[in-house]
Amino acid sequence: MRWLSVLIGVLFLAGCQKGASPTGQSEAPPVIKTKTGVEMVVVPAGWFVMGSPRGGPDEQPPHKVWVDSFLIDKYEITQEQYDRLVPAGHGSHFKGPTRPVEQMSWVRAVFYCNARSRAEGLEPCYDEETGECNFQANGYRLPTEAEWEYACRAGSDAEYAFGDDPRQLDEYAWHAGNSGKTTHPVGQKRPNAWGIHDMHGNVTEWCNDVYDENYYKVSPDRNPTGPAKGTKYVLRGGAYNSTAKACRSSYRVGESPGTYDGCFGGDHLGARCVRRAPGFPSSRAANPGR
Amino acid sequence: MNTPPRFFIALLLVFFIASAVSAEAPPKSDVLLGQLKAYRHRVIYETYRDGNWELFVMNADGSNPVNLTRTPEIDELYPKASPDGTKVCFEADEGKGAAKVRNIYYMNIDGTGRTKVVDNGRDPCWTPDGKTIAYMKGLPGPYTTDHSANKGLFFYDLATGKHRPHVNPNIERVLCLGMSPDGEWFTATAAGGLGYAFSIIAFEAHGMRHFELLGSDQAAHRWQCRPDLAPDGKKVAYAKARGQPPDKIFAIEVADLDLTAPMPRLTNFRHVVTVPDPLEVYHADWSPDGRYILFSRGPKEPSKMKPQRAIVAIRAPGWDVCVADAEATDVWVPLTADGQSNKEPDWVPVK
Repeated sequence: MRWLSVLIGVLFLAGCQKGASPTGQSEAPPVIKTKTGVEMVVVPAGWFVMGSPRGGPDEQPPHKVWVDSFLIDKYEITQEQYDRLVPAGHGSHFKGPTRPVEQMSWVRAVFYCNARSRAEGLEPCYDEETGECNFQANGYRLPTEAEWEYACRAGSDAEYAFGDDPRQLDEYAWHAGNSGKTTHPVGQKRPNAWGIHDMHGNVTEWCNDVYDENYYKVSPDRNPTGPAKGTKYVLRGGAYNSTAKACRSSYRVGESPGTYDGCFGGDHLGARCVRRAPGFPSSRAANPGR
Repeated sequence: MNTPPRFFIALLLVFFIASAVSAEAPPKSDVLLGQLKAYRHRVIYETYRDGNWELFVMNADGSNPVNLTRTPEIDELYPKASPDGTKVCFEADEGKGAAKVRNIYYMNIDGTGRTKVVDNGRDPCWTPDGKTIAYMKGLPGPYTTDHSANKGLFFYDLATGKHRPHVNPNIERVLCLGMSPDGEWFTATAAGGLGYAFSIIAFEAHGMRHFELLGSDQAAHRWQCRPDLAPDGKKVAYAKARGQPPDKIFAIEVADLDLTAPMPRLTNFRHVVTVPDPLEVYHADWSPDGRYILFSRGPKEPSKMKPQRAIVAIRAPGWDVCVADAEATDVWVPLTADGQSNKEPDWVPVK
């Protein structure tokens, strides 16, 4: 029966991919609601150009990357979602049930992913002793850096998902120029072409990958998962206090993963989850042709 | 056989780290130790012995440590001596599994007369008159070591056993409460509480006003926490971290404070103790006469997945209680040397 579910998944996602175009002028992919009530966008598999020739040295060289299909949260993790699963709460600076969780370390984000997996009867992806991610597991995890940028671009090869003009950023993101120095409830700004909100602003989002400024020079072209070791983890997307430049799709930064106690200040640090697309084997096992 | 250079580099590295982690005191500490031998005030601290946290009390020079608790089934933690030195309030983690909870007690300084203050309480401190214990209520739900998982500040009257809430019901996610000598102000670390991201704050003991005394600088990777007011209420000592590995340092820093100013802020900063990564220093506590500062010191937790060793109830192998000359820089001595998770030291005034 497994082959049947895979086949159904392939046909389903092939249908999703059909509408995607490099300009992002595509039909938005379907959205599902998870058992814990979180909306997730079914991101179609595909190739895209990761990085930017106009960005910083760590964004170069731009290189083609294949990403398998996956589900990604339509919105950043909100405070009410986090409180439902983590009794100790989140300690966000800017309070509000539909605002994104911030002051979130990489480690807290990982523990949240596992808590959400358990709440839905899925296999947790993370080893809570080491932080190692099991990509074969069907539970929630942080996006790889490639998945994040692919989902952010939503078919666009411009500086932002909506084009190259930063003057349009106000329509799509809460950033230093319009946020009033605070986060805002998720989903108030326009989504990208795939229906995903707040990728360019509100809170910067943790990725699963270790950060290495030279990684693009050696990165594999299929489902890259980042360097094996390192002391910093990747953060992507702008935040309420970011400049327009730092809100670009390809902008990268590395940060200490922190610890999961209160001694971590970062009211611009949040996350969103991904998981394998239903009916698909692990994205890491796939081997698509160009 | 040629020995690979990497072997020697690794050997040097191990030697360097071992030297750094050792509790060896810096130069000039002999004079300090001599002073402490004649110092009448004592020290209480938490320590992990035989699978259990206990409260020990010792002389100011580290001599004559005595176990005050001896409770194999209960973890006593976070001791705070009363202003007259006759009592101590503390946290106690009790129960197992889903029944585990953190409660607050006080007892006589000899370990007798244990009295429960409240179930599910955290961060107790004494009012200056020693008649009241202020504390934070823990969040409902399962036990957690998350130090900021609290909401609601209350006052417990030792004479009547009654609890009174602070006038501001929105005090939450603050840790390491301390009171000013006049009893008008609390100092604390706000970790997402009262509108602060991660800051040292002061807030009124009987009013609604609150101020950020020192905020963290995320861009510079600078954080401060766990403030302790000097006996005169005009200085604050606290733990500070700055930078990122391998250039990260921890320090016990002292700054001036004027709580009568319209907008109180910390000023005139200086380091009392500094240590390089991977060492950490935390839990500063002023001596009753303001001459010395207790602190705990040890290697940081190497796993990114585990909580910081400075947190209450988190085991801290290699950590020892130390005392520094509050007027100098890096003049300090270790008071314990067994590295058995010796933390949260507090001066016990001896009249």
